This record gives sequence, structure tokens and C-alpha cells, in this order.
Amino acid sequence: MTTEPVPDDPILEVSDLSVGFDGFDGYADVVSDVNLSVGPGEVVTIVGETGCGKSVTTKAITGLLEEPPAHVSGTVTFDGTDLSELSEEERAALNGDGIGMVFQDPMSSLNPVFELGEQLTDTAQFGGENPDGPLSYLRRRFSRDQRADARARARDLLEQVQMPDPEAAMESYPNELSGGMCQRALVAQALLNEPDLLIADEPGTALDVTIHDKILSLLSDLISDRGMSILMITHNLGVARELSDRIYIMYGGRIVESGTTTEIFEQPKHPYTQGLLASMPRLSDDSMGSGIDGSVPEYVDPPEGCRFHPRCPYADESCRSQEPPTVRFSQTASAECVRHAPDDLGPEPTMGETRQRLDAAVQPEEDSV
Amino acid sequence: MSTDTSRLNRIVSPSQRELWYRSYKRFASQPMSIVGATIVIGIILTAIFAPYVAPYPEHIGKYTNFANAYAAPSLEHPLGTDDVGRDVLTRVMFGYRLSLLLAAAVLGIGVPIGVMLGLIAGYTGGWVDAAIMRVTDTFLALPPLVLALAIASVFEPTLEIAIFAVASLWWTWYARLTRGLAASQRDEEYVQAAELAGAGRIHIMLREILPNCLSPLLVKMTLDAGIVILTGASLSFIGLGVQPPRPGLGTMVASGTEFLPQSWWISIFPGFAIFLLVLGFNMLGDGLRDMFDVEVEQ
Amino acid sequence: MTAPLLAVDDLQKHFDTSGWFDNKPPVRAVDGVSFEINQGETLGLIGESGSGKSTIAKCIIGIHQATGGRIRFQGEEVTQQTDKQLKRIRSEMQMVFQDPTSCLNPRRTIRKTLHVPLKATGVSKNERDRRVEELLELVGLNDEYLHKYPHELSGGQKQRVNIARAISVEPSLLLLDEPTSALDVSVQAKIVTLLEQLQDELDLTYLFITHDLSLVRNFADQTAVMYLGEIQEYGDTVQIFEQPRHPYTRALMSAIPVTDKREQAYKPDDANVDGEIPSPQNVPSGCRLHPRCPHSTEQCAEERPTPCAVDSAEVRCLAYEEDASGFEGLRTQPSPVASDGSGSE
Repeated sequence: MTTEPVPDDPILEVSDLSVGFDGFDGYADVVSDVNLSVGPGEVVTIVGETGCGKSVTTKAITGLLEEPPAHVSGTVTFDGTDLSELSEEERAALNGDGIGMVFQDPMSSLNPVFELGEQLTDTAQFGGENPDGPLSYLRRRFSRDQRADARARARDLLEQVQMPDPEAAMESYPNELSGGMCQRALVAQALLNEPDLLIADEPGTALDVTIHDKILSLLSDLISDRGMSILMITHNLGVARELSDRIYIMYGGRIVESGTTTEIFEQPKHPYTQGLLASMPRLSDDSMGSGIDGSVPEYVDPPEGCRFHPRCPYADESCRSQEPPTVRFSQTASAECVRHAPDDLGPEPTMGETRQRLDAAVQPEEDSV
Repeated sequence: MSTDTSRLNRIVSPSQRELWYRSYKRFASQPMSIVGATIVIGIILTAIFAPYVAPYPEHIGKYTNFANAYAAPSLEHPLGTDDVGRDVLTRVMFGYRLSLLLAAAVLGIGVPIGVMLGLIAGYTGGWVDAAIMRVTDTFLALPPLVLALAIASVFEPTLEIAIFAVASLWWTWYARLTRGLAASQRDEEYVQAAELAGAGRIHIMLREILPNCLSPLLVKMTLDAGIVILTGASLSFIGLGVQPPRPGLGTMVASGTEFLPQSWWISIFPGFAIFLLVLGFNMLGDGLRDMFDVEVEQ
Repeated sequence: MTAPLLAVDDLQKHFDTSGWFDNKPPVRAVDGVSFEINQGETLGLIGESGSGKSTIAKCIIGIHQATGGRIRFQGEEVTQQTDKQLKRIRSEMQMVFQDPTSCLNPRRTIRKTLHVPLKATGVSKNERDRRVEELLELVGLNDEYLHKYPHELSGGQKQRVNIARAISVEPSLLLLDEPTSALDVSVQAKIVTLLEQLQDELDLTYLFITHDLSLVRNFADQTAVMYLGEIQEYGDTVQIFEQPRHPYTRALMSAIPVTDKREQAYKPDDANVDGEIPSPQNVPSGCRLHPRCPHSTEQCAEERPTPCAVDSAEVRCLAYEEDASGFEGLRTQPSPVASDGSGSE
């Protein structure tokens, strides 16, 4: 259990979040005891590969999981309010208002049968608080002035997200726009109601590198302009490094390491983080590591003790028999690994050592990835 | 360029058992499917065991008992007797045999021909595809009943001729359906990979493409069974199918009409029997379609 | 010097999209591409969407027919392949696709899938099972995978099966079309390591297609950077990375998110290219990059550059031609190695 150093007055605080699913083959214990927080104006990134539970965590935070089959426990506090105390409508209203969301695949998140302008104007008019009934909706929908105002706001926002030719874009259908433009439109849509927190799930991953880079610098500009907080999800460590203030590394449904960006990249502590960094192909030389053996844990029957131990080059009996302790390295940095515990006798994981051990284990394994 | 489309999104990968279970649940989620399945299975069993289960098996042939003719439904004859004293219930049971036989024969002939032609057309493409499709279109333009009439006027009007007439047109739908499915799979990467691996065309058509077509084909066959039976009954009704004294359901409806409304059971019960069987197949077919719909996605 | 295993000369592939009533310009997917790969080497072909990189592979292996240019494989001309040629080629050349899932028939077990190429090359029935087990071992899977269906495997495992299938016919050339793009980083590293191992063990030659620049740096002997159907820069990998010349190559390098300061120093300082990639149906006049290039001049819009030799690379950019003027900004860019005083490695 991590005792997170909570930034003063965090805008989002997640404590002891656990999510499980009722499955056919048994109960899948996916997310366990996740603690994270996002301060005002901070950019926090959750980094993890496929199957680490990051999407499930995000959905649990925004209340988008169907319970059952999901079982969510723990507390999520947004701007001081415990989200479990809100009704479903209030929760949904919050998602459009205080929290903005940008999803992964821009092409499929926009409705293909409506013009972009229509969709954005709808969000501008009706996103967020909308407690009135159908009559009032109709009145607002067809009120010329209100609609024109909303449309103007949408158009302004398209300009702010650096959409080339916003007017033309407003009148286009999503399939007429390129991937980059759709992504910008999604960001605009999320910002329309001036959220305090933007949750971005792999923004721009499906796009070409040059365009992806532009989306990232757009986000960077927006952060400095608006003082918004961002919770970003990605599998790409390089992307995390570019934008984040703090990073959480997730594996097997747990936060295995956390720290400021500098701490994570200059002094990674957890063997998984180290293995991940070592596996990334490099521009400056060909020292790419040979990856990490094994595969993501089966959540229905997860490994005992530390969930990473079947793949870890430092694993031993203590890793199997007990849950790894959380070791603090600074105000902000911590890792869940018994090798870093002060009284542990095993070798301390360092980048060099981990890299060596992983490269040495390049035999065909029984349990390949 | 989506590089992420195939990242495994599932946190928990389904085992094969789970997939079967889910398919069953989808099927069973509509109560109509269960009803349909029950009806169809029930009727098939009845038809198979008719010689042992029917109360008066000798009534299906040249049997007469004028003393007992026009008997209303009673305990000895739950569906009454007809104009020459034969037990309607027995005849309906054996009538089901003939109907199901008809369906099996038509589909048994039409489906393999249609599917083969469709696979060849869809996978080969080009002029072969065009040629086969034009032939198919030509046959499609002919209405089955009219063709059956024509054939029957040349040959003798019997059940066998009726089967031949209907089957000679029924393959076209399967050719069409299979052709579409095969053509869309032609560009799938696993077909390309198999081609690259050197697999021959027969292998690809039968082993790579066909298994992925089975679900829609099965659904269509089930729904078609009802239509074929109805068509057969219609042919019998106008005198072109099952000839008396054989207990064809359509024939019984036809010969019973002159006794309406007094001895209504002679006509109505066979008619209802047809209705029940067709309804059963339809509901079963719908259920299968629901079950397979999502499976195709997976 | 022995002839290269694969030689492509001015390859072109245009797709005609006109219907009966409209006259649309063709999609110039591949528009004059030339390169060579020697036995045992790896050529990394980099490009974003619309670059035509996948189309090149498909032309080489016969899924598409080239509309111009020549392809020579093992000394033999194979541009317009006859059926007999195709058969021979397909036992010498194989392809691994990007999406590991869609290459595997969802209704066949792994064992059945791996039997297909063996059956096609005439391996006897008893032999087949043995060979399949051998293949699985080569790619690092044990035989419990024989009876599984594709949906029971992870992405990395599926890709291993695809690789096993490709090498089962004992080819000399392997075309890999973004084989790791759908995989996580840690899995990607393992697959790349496997590919390197196999290259050593089986003396394979690779055409490795990807959009990931850094991956090529780690894996390829030669690199070719593609944009809109043309190769913009081509040469020795290390040289291209240490001295990227073409503005597009530089833009790609500067757009990559990296993980430490040394990597950061390697990235060129140029601005990224502007705007979006145009459609290959509507290629810009002259140099294809000119509407987006931060260094373009008027000449760039008019004249289509031809590849010119710069050191041991070929660069398709007017800035490097003999009497080029007005490109001082580009030509005097410091190379990453020079700017990072500590040098490479």
C-alpha cells in the first residue's frame, strides 16, 4: 500500500482503488490498491503496456465501468468531492464538465453521420450541466442565438487547437478529416466546457509520428496557457517524458513505481521500469535490450506475491511468498520491490545490472511472450 | 495509419469453454429461440419415430373405413378422421416425414452445389466470377412455382419431381451468399498468408474460407428449411407434389378444403402442422443468427 | 562482388481509381523506387502512412503487379511474374504482416496453420508434425501451442507463429511489414532479438518495413526513408543517423519522443514539417515535400529532385545538388554527433 505524498490540494485523488471482474472462468482481480493523485496544473502520466490495467483504472475513475460485472472499491475524489456520493446523472454531468476526456482512436470517437460543427456545437450547448427536461432542450436546441453562440465558441476552440481552416473543418464530416484533424477536434471537444482536469488516453498514438509530435506540442501549449491538469495514459515512455511532471508505472494492475519525470528516467528503481527502458530502441546507438521474458499475468489466476516475479531477473522466494513492500526514495519517488527494502540481502536492481541479466536470459523459454 | 488497432484490449482472454458458453447464452437469451428449437426437435423426433409412435400407421396407405369417416376429434382420434376414415393425427405425423424429407433433399442437393459455385466465383474473381454470377442471376429470375408447373407438365407430377424442381432453383441463393462471403475473405490477410505459403486453391477455398462462412450458411439453411417446406406444401396443394394417398401436408389441406366448414379438422390440422413447422424453423433460425452475429465479430 | 539478393530498379505502382464516368488521377503509391539488399543483410524501409512502403513489399512478393520498373531476385527478373516463377519465388521469399491476428485463420489451430506451407512444399505427413515442432522451438514456443486457437495467444506469441510459418519453407528473403507495430515495447524487443538470431542461424536477408525510426537504427544495416512513394534518403544506417541530410529524415528524427539527454542531443534542431501528409493521389509538384518543408524554395516547387550522392548516402533533395543555392540553412546544420561532444557509443 503506497502512502502517496499528496500534492497540496489535489484536483484528483485516488485511494486504494481496486477493480475486479466477474468472469466465466472465475473472478479476475485486475486492479489492486492503486493510489494516485493529480495536483492543479500538473501533468501526470500512467505508463504501462497492454494488459496492465491502465484503461480499467481510467474507466473506474470516470465511472464508466458497469457494475456488475465489475466490482470497484476505493475512493475517487475530484476537487474535494467523493465521487461515490454523486448520483449517476451528477457523475455523467461531471464527465462533461469538470473532467474532459480525450480517447484513443480519433476516427472512431466522432459520430460519422454528423458534421463536426454540429457535434461540437451540441457539446458546447449541452455538455456539462443539463438538468432540464425535453421541452427546455428543444427550446435551447432551436434557439438561434444560443446555437450561434455555442457554434462560435466551438469555432474559437478549433482555432486554439491549431486546426487548419477551422471553418471548413466545422462543415466537414469526420471521415473527410485526417487523423490529426480528428484528434485536434477531440481535444477541442474535451475543452469546450473548460474542464479542470483533462484525461487523455493514448492521445495521438494511432497517428503518424510527425503528426503525433504536433499533437503533443499542442497539449503542451494548452497546459501552459490554461493551467489545466492532465492525467495522461500511454504505453510510450518517451511520450511520457516529453509532457509529464510525474509518472506512475503500472504493471499487473498495480502501481509498481512512481516519481517525478527526472527521477524515473535518471534513476529508475523497479526492475520492470528498468527493463522497459532497456527495451526501447535508441536513436544514438544500437544498444536496444532484448526485452522482458514472459507475458502479462492472467488476472483470473495471478502470480502470488509480487505480480512481476515470474518475469523478474531478481526474483527469489521472498518475491513469491509475500506482497512487495513499498520503498520510498524521496518525497515523490517510490517503488514496490522487496529488493529495495533496507533489510533485503539480494542485489539492488540498477539499470546496468537489470540490462545484463535480461540480455543473458535470451534462451527459448517455456513461457515465452 | 492505425498501429494500435490490434493491441489486445482484453484484460481477461476468454477460454474456448467460455466462448461456447457465451454463444449458448446469446442463443438462449431470446425465449423464442428455445421455443423454436423445441418445436423443430420435437417434430423431427416425431417424424423419425412416426412408424412406432403413430396410433394407426396403416392409415397412410390405401386404407378406407367409411364407417368412421368424418369423425370429429375424440380420444381415439385426437385430430379426427378424414373423408375415407383415416386418422388425421397419424397422417400428419407421416406428413411431417415427407416435408422434412423434402427439405433435406432440396437443401442436400442445392446447398453443396450453390456453395461450391459460390466459393469458386468469389475466390477466383474475374470472368469466372462474372460467368457464374450471370448464370445464377438467370436462374434467380425464374419463379419456383412456375418452373415447377412447367417441369411437372412435362414429366409426371410427383414428390420427386417437386424436389428436383425446387432444388434446381434453390442453389442460386447459396451461390450468391457464398460468393459474397468468399469475395470479402479473399483480401483477408490469413488468406494471403496461406497463398504465400503455397497453399493450392482447393485448400484455400475449403479449408480457409469455407469454415469462416459456416455460420451465415447455417442460419440461412435453417430459415430456408421453413420456406422450402412451404414451397413444397404449396406445390402439393396445387396438385404438383405429393400425390394422394400419400400423406403430404399440402395435399391434405387441398383435399380437405371441400369439407370445410363442417369437417374442418381434415383441412385445418394439416395446415396448422405446416404452420407450426415453418414457425419453428423461423424462430430457430433467428436464434442461430443472434448467436452467430457476435461470434463472427470475435 | 556477388550480385545483391534483391535489386529493385525504378519500381512504380500506380493504382487506377477511375470509374467509368470519372477520370481521377491514379494513386501513385510507389513512384520510382530503387534499392539493393545483399545476402544476409537487413534493409530498413521507413515511412509514414501513404509512403508506399507496404506496396513495395507486396509488389516484390507478387500480391500486386508493378506498373513500372524492374525487380530482380537472385539474379532473375521477376517483375511480371509468371505462375511458375511465382511458385519458385514463394519458396524462396516470404512475408510477415503487421497485424498478427488477421494473418491467422481464427478457425484453425496453430498446428493446422503451420501445416499449410509444409504441405505445399511437399513435406510428407509424418515429417510435418516433426517439422512443426522444430519450427516452434526455433521461435521460442513450446508444443502446448500446437492445439491452441489464435485467440488464445498473445500478440507476441501470434507473431512468433507467423514468423515460424514464414521460415518453414526455408526462404532466403523475408519481407517484414511492420512486424512489431502492434506489439508492446518489451515484446517488440524480444521479437527483434529473435529475428536477429534467426538471421544468423539461417542466413536470412530482411527487408524490414516500419514507421519507427529508432527500431531501424538498432536492427538494419542499410536504411531507406520513404515519403509519398519515393525514397528520400538511402544509405548506411549509422551514417544516416549520425548525419541525417534530407529535411524529411531530420523531421522524423526530431519528432521522436526519447528517454534521455543523450538521445535528445541526437535529435536535429529543425522544426518539424508543417501540415498533413497529402494523399498519394494528389502529389505536390516538383519535390513532394515542398509544401511542408521548412527549407523549401521556389525551385523546390518546380523541379523534381533526383537522388544525389552525399558521402555514402543518396539524398533526394535539391539542396544537395551540384549548383544548389539558397539552402544554407539546411546544409550547415550541425550533425548530432558533433553537437554532443562525447561522441557515440
